[in-house]
Amino acid sequence: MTIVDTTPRRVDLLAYAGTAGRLVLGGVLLWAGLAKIGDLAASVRAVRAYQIMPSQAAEVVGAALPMVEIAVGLLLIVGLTTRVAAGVAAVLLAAFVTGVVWAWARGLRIDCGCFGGGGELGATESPDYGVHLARNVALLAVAIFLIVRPRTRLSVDARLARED
Amino acid sequence: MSQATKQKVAAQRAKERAQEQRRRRARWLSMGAVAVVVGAGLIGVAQWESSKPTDVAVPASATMDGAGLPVGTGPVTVELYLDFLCPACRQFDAAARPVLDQFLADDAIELVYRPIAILDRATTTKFSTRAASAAGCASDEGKIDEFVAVMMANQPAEGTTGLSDDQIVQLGTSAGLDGATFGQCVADGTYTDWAGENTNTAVDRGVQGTPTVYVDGEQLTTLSVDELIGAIENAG
Repeated sequence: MTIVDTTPRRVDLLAYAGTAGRLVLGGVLLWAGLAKIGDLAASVRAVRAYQIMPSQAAEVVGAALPMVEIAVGLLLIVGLTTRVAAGVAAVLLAAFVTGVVWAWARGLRIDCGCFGGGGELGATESPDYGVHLARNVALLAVAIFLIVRPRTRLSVDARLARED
Repeated sequence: MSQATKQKVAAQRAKERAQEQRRRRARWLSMGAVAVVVGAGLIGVAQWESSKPTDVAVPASATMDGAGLPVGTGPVTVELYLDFLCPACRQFDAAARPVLDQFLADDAIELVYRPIAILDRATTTKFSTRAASAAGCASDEGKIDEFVAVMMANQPAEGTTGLSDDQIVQLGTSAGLDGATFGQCVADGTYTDWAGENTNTAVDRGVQGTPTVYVDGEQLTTLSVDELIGAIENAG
C-alpha cells in the first residue's frame, strides 16, 4: 500500500499563492498611489466628488491616501509585516467598496479616481461602477486571504523567521 | 530529577524563550509598520497643506463669491462651469452662444463664467489652469465673453501641449484685449492660484464634470439648448 502525503505540497502551493497575492495587491496599491501622488489637488477633488464626508475630512483623506497606498504597497511587495499590511489594505479596500456603492446608489456621475484624476467624467463617458466594485471585492478577498495566511514565500517575513 | 529530565526542561525553556523573543520582535515590527503607514499619510497631508497658496489674488471683476466672471446684468443668473480644454464645453459654447448672446442683448440674464481646471493632466503644460487664469485677466479688462468665445473656437486637442501663453495672449489680443496689460497678467500667472482654488471648491457644489450649467441655482441635466432656453424663460 502506498500512502502519498500531499499536505506539504498543498501548503507549499498556498504559500506561493500568497506570494502572488502579495505582489498583485501590493502592485495595484503602489501603482494607484504613484498615479495620484503627482497631483494631490486632483486626489482631494476625487475624494470630494464622492460627497461622502465633509469637505475638510475629504481634504485630509485625499492628501494622505496616495502616500498610504504607496507605503502599504511596498510593505506587501517585499513581504514585511504581511498581516498588518494586508489588514490596512483590507480597510482601504472596504472603504473603496463603500465609496463606489455609495456613489452608485446616489446616482453620482463620477470617475472613481482610483488611479489618479480628479473624479470628473467627460461628457461622453459613463461611470463603470460595476467594474470597480468587482475589482475592489476581488482585491479585498486577496487581502483577507493574506490576513488569514500571512506566511508566504519570497518575503522578508520568511527570511526573518529562518534566521532563528 | 534525572539528567534526562533536566535536559528536557532546559530545552523546553530555551524554546519558550526563543518563541517569546519572536513574538516580541513581531510585535515591534507590526507597530513599526503601522507607524510607517501613518507617517506616510501625515507626510502627504503636510505636503498638501504646505502646497496651499497663502495669498490668492482674485480678479477685481469677479462675482461676490470670488469665483465667477460675470457678463451682463439681467435678473436671471446663468452660471457656466467650464474647462477650456473640454470638448463638450466647446460644443456647448458653439450651440448656446447665439442664444445666450440674445438673452444678454435683451438684458434678461447675467452670464457668469466659472472657469475651472480639471483637465490639467490632459496637456503637458497645465493648459487648463493657464487658460482659466488668463480668463481672470480677460475679465479684468471687461472682455471675458469675447475671450471665452475665441478660446473655445481655437481649442487645442487633449493629449497635446495645449496653447502656449504667447498663443493665448495672441488670441486674447485678437478678441480686443490690450496686448501689453493682458500679456503681462498671463505671463505673471496672476490668477493661477485662483483657478486652482475654484477647481477645488467647485466639486463641493456638485460639479462632477464640465460643462455644468446652473440657471438661477438649478443645475441643467441634458445641456441641450432647448433645456437652457426653457430654464431661463421659466426663471424669468
